[in-house]
Amino acid sequence: MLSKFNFISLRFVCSTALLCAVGLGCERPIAERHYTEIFVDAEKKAMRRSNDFSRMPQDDIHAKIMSPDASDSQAMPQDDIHSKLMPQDEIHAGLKAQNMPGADMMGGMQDPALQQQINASADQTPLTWETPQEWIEKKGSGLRLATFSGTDPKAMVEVTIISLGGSAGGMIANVTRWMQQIQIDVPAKSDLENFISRQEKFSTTSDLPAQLIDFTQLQGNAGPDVPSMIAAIVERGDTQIFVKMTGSKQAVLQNRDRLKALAKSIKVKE
Amino acid sequence: MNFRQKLRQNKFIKFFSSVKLAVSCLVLLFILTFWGTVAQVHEGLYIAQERYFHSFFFLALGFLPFPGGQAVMWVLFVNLSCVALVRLNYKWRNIGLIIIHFGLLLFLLSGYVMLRCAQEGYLSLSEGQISNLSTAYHNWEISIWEADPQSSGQKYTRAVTAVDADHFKNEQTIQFQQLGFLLKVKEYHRNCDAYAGEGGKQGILNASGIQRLQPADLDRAPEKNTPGGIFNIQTADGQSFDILLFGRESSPVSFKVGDKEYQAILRLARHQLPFELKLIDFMKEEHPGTDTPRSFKSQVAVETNQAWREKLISMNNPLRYKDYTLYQSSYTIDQMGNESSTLAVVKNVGRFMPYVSTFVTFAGLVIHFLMMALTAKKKPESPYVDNE
Repeated sequence: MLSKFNFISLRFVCSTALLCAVGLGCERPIAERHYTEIFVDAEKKAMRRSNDFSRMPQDDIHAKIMSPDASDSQAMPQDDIHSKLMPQDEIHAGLKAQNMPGADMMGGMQDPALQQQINASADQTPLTWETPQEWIEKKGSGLRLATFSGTDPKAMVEVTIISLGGSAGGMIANVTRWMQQIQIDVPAKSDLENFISRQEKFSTTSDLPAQLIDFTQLQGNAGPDVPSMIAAIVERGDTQIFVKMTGSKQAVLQNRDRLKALAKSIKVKE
Repeated sequence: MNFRQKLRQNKFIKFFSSVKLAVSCLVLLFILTFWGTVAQVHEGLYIAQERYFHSFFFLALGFLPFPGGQAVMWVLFVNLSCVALVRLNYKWRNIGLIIIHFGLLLFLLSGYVMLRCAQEGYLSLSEGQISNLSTAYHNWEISIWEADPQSSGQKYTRAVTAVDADHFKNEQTIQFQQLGFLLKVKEYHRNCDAYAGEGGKQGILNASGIQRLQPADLDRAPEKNTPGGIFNIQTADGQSFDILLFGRESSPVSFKVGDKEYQAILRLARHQLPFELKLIDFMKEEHPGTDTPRSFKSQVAVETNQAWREKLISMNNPLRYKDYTLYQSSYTIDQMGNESSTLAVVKNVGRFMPYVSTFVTFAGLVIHFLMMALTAKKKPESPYVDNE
């Protein structure tokens, strides 16, 4: 019985080894392939860039959008309906300010060249940080490296970390857009520069320069429940790390120190 | 002595036409099927398939060499072929068994054709976009093309030269015949992390400022692995420089060879389709009062021979063109409300072969059993020329 088993095993091992040798001997060197890559972006976006809004509903909501004078975002109704038209985050910072082709009121975000630039500007350098005890960290998605939310139901805030290469639109453009996002009237450029220069500057634990932009300072007379924001910008050479906290005025004020602590703790993972 | 009798004397043929060898293979296939199926729970579908079914050998329990599915099936194929060549008794009374033998051979052959020739990938398009490439799920390639200063990101046609990166080995060289330079793999990791900090090598070209790569353990889920490598480019005029490519980069690295500027990127492998596809409209219906989609479908236009035809792709209604089948797979809706549809693209030149094999084997079984029933009173005769 045992000899039979050995005989069968021997046959199998020998035959398999033979075939393997043939198979391995036939391994081909890596060869180049050739193909033609064709890509054409959406016509719909081209339509928007040429200000052809003929397919837009003919109602009051869209009246200003269709206006030929609608040349800047101020013409966009500042209501809930339009709040989601353009992502209000660092990724899109300063796109209008850069006056890129196609960066008009609605179509700019959909321009693939811009999208490519946005994607390219996303910095993938691994970062580390210390999450404040009162916050819950969630996994980042897309270009967000991380998202945090507060645990205090009376002071709910959302905090995001995004790292972008280059100037990411520039400080003035970012601050302007953030003001618009929380419905603060944008002052004249000189006043805006004055406001930015007054904002607190600090260094992170790894000696990176950072600045805290506290928009609650411009909402002195507003109630505690108005939407507000405090953002920290950490500069790391050619890269800017944005730590942005949004929530009610009262909530962001309560979490101001935690945001600063989070921004201070940001380090490049070595 | 006829030709078959002469072959039967050959030790090699005699060895491979053994019934015992066939039984050994079938037992091993049974073990592998069971083992591989159970292993999928812990190792994941992709790794289990590669390890138990696509491999020639693998180490069981980490040290014991065990034949993989491909080796066993090759041995079984040779065994069945040898039996068909020298031992099958080609007489009408054996017609059922003869058909079964060839049905099984066809099964193994179709398995090989599907393993080697089937291509699976996906194609994601936003409404209005046109593309002619499918993207592989797990395989990577280095794509190189000549930079075109006139080209915009909105519309381009590129002649791409690519090499598959999955089997790169350190110190391996790849000759790009048409581009006129040599690419040498200095360092390649199937999964790694990229760092911009100190400690990297100086003078390496990279699109995102990455300076060094840190190898990481391979994840069970292949989609979680990001390859990266440092490659040396050597041109005909003696120029030599290093480029660093990382799988998560979205921008290509640019470099000059002679007076031409090239761009290179490490990305999931692309496969050209024999047509251009345009997503006209993506439609999604939800269950009333919920965000749960009830159905989603894509209205597409296919361009072949400079003519466009429209087709609706939905869950059980794929688009078929030549050897390609495009299924509705998934969708995304971004913050702007832009809808994108993802279509699974399967190219399978032998997609009918398993059906044909099943039919042939089934037909052989039916014929064999019928003949057995009809000739039940007669003394059975061996279907083989000789017995072991």
